[in-house]
Amino acid sequence: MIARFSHLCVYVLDQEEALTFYRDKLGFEVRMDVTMDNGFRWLTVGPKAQPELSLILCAIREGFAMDAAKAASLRSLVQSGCLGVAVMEVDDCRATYEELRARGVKFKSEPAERPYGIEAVMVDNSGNWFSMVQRRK
Amino acid sequence: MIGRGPGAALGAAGEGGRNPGVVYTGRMRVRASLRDLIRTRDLMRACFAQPISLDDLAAEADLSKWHYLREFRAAFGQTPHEFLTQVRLERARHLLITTSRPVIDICFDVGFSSPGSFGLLFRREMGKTPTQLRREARRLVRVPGRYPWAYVPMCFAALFGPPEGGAGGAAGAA
Repeated sequence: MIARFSHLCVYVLDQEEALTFYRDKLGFEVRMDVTMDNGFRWLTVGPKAQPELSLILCAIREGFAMDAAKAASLRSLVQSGCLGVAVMEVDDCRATYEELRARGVKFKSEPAERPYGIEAVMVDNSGNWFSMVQRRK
Repeated sequence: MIGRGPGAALGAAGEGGRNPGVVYTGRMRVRASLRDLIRTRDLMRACFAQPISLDDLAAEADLSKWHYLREFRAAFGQTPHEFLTQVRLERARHLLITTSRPVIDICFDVGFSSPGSFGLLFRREMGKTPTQLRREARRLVRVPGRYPWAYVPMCFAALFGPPEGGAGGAAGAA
């Protein structure tokens, strides 16, 4: 039986900038930050209120099964802003929207009423977007 | 705030301006304390090397000791003490893998006051003694201070790792 997700992978253009964004702008906590012998950096962060799920902020770099061409196309896909990563639940969408925007976080769309709640679409500093939903009770 | 927990789950439907007339009683109180609970987690992560008592944490959350304990467990699925122990053990594992500091020093570095209980808890959590873990990691580490590939999940090791299959099995970053 599959119990739950523990890690999700988010491909980022620059890990240091992603770290600043996720830690300082979104307020996530850093769970692990270690470097392998070839320089690959295992960097995980997560919402403080949800300790059991971590996001792997994965740099797009060449490796054994990731050749230069694949890395380049993945990089341009992320950068183009066409990749949606996940849906986040927020307790108050409009307040969180204002709070994040004040910190310089960009949004694809403002909070709006949807059949399932109030939703805004946030973009990270690589181009990945996340839907931020305050669920209808 | 982005997150999940009792606060988010019980969340305030009315705060977006849709139900301004709703009167919150207990729910509001629980939700308000999620930030406080998170602050105590931050405190434990930042100060794990020092002795931290339940009284300290409850005071930080501005709750009574037992109320704090209940709320923390409801929010995060573990007690503050379990969380603190986990933080200390993870830190100890990190130091065992990446440094050559003696085990006994690491035990005190990460905030344990007794090597006996450190050894016991470490073994219970990691399935091996600190010395065994270090010995295993040593065989896998090729550059001092760096992490062995065996400590990140296989799929990432396969994508970004060394071509000679140095992945050596998944198990345990997290």
